Amino acid sequence: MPVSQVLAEVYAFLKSMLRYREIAFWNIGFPIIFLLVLIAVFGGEPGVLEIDVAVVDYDRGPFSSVIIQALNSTGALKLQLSDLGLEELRKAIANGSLSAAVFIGEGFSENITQGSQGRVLLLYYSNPQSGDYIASIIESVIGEASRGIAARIAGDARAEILLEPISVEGVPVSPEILATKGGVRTFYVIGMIGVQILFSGLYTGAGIIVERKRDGTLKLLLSSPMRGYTIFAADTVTSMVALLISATAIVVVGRLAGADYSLIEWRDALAMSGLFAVGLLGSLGLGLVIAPLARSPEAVNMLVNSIAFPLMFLGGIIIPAFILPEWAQDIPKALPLYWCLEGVRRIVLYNYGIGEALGVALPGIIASLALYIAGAIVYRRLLEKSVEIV
Amino acid sequence: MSECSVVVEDLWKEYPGGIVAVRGVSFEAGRGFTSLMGPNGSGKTTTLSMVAGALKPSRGRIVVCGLDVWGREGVRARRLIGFAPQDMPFKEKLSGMENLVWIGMIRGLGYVDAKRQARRALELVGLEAHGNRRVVTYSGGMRRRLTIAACVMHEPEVLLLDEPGSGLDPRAREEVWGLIESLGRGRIIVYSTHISQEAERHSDRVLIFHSGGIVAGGPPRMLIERYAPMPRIIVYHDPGGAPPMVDGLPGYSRGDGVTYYEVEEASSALPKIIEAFLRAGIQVHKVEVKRPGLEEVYFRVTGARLEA
Ligand SMILES: Nc1ncnc2c1ncn2[C@@H]1O[C@H](COP(=O)(O)OP(=O)(O)O)[C@@H](O)[C@H]1O
Ligand SMILES: [Mg+2]
Repeated sequence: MPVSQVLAEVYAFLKSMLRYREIAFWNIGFPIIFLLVLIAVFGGEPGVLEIDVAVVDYDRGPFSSVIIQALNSTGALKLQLSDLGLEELRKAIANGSLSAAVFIGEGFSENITQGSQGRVLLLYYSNPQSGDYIASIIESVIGEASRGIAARIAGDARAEILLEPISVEGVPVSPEILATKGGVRTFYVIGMIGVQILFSGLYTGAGIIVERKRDGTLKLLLSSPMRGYTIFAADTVTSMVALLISATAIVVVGRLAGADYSLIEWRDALAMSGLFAVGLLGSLGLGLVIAPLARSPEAVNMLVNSIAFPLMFLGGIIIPAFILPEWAQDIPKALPLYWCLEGVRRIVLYNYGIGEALGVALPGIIASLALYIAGAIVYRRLLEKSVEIV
Repeated sequence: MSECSVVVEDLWKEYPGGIVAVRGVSFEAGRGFTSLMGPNGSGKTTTLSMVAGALKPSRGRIVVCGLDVWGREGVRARRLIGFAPQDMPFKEKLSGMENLVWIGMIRGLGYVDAKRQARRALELVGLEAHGNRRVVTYSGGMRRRLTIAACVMHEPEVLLLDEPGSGLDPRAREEVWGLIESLGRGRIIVYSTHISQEAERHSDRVLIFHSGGIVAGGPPRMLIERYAPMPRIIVYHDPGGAPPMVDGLPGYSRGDGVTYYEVEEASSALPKIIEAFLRAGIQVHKVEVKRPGLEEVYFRVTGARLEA
């Protein structure tokens, strides 16, 4: 591969960045402005809009349903029946998607019937502003129910009488970083890098031949001693350099605006860079795969915007996937970039180890690389066709 | 440097949609200047693009210094070529120097070499004082000189120039041709033009293009000798009235008060022509004697005008 031709594109990009305001704007100005807007609007203390409480009922006995009814009757709690395990519940609370969870184990009703205490686990978000308050509401509701049950059993001669047939064991879950102000801002820093990856990858991929045809550089390249994949490699490297510059600007400005990077160690940074890079390859590949649909730079504009804009919001990139409406919940899962970003978020926001995070991102990594390879094939076909008419 | 040439064999180009832009062109160009002369749409750009390796022929072979441009040695063949499309795609807001470095790297030079060669090329074309200015501020002539600089950066054997002199005022055109003449020494230059005087002055060999094919070829003097040896006398006169015969020679009229005669010798024919017009009662405004050139050759060979 002729390195100089690949570097020629990088050279022209870097020089153009200094000279063409629009190039500097889209690579640095736009992401910074967008990031600051996101932080200004959404980057405050994460509020608890609704008190989402999950109830896991492995007992399915008469007394567990008494508890559920009691919780339901308050009207203040938004109950959802769930079958998550304890660890998953803990995570959902830690990242703010649940306020609390009530876990009723197997044999709960049986225990009470036999005169011993039934144990309920109350997992709650230990945030001094709202979490403890929510826990005390739930505790008092369950306490009330417990006394009701005690009274009912007292009327039954066969049973022994227990004053408090139900014990509540509180399990505080400390908020993970996403549930803090700095964490939310970090979320947007990652999201903004994702937006750059999405847009610049699609633009570069979809316009790889068409843009060069329009400005005449294709003729120049074809008459130069280049190989089949030179342009492909040149655009890959150039968009990596562009992303490096954008991401640096985003990370720095994010820090100044209060993003929290305390969970990142330098090995993490390496893994994150890798995930971003793979995400970019996928995005480039996707751009190339759709490239045959756009026969002019204007068409590239339309095509890329009509794909990237909706995905920016619905693809789990700048809006957390778990707050998307029901019908959109599966859209992020179909986007390889989402998984790559998810891997990064696990490291930065949820303090996952690199191995675990890469495990989460694995589908995205594989799909991104597959897209990139598919893109390479489409690129070759486009190039072969473009040699027929210049 | 062994003997090197550009050999084109039975070249065809059919664009998708059925337009046959080049139909069976063959020629060989050795060191020196070969011009492709023809009107707009006659297939010059298409031919040059194929020779440059930028456009794939539908059929035919192009061999540059023994290397097949569209075969396995395509990459090596392209190293020997410097191609200037009619509009070089400079990046307007980058300086002349930066554009040259960029193009030099595209042509395969490393960054350091590209920089050195760019400086040298700027000097060669007399732009050393303007190398740091943005290309958007260049005049047409400066742009064309920069184009030529961009072509010689990697010191190619073969220069392919598409309409190097067109769109320039006469002075700038002179300058550009001065440059091409001096840089082209010892190289193979193939260029296109629709201007007959340009082809006449700056070619060792002219290939006359018409409707995608070569209809005549050879040194300009030889073509003129063969197809249009006789000088012309052009009479500008009142329109209306059939132009008179002179010594049994018909006049070729364009119908708008311009008639010309092909004569053996201008000095003896001139008085006879004027007399014939006076006798026919047609008022003469101006008379010109024109030595025949490639314009006339083109007309004679194709029956069409070169510059419409
Ligand atoms: N991309 C193209 N698609 C279809 N026809 C084309 C294309 N480019 C050129 N042509 C046609 O090919 C013919 C030759 O064009 P060209 O080589 O540009 O002529 P010249 O350079 O002599 O003016 C013209 O009829 C032109 O319309
Ligand atoms: Mg042309």
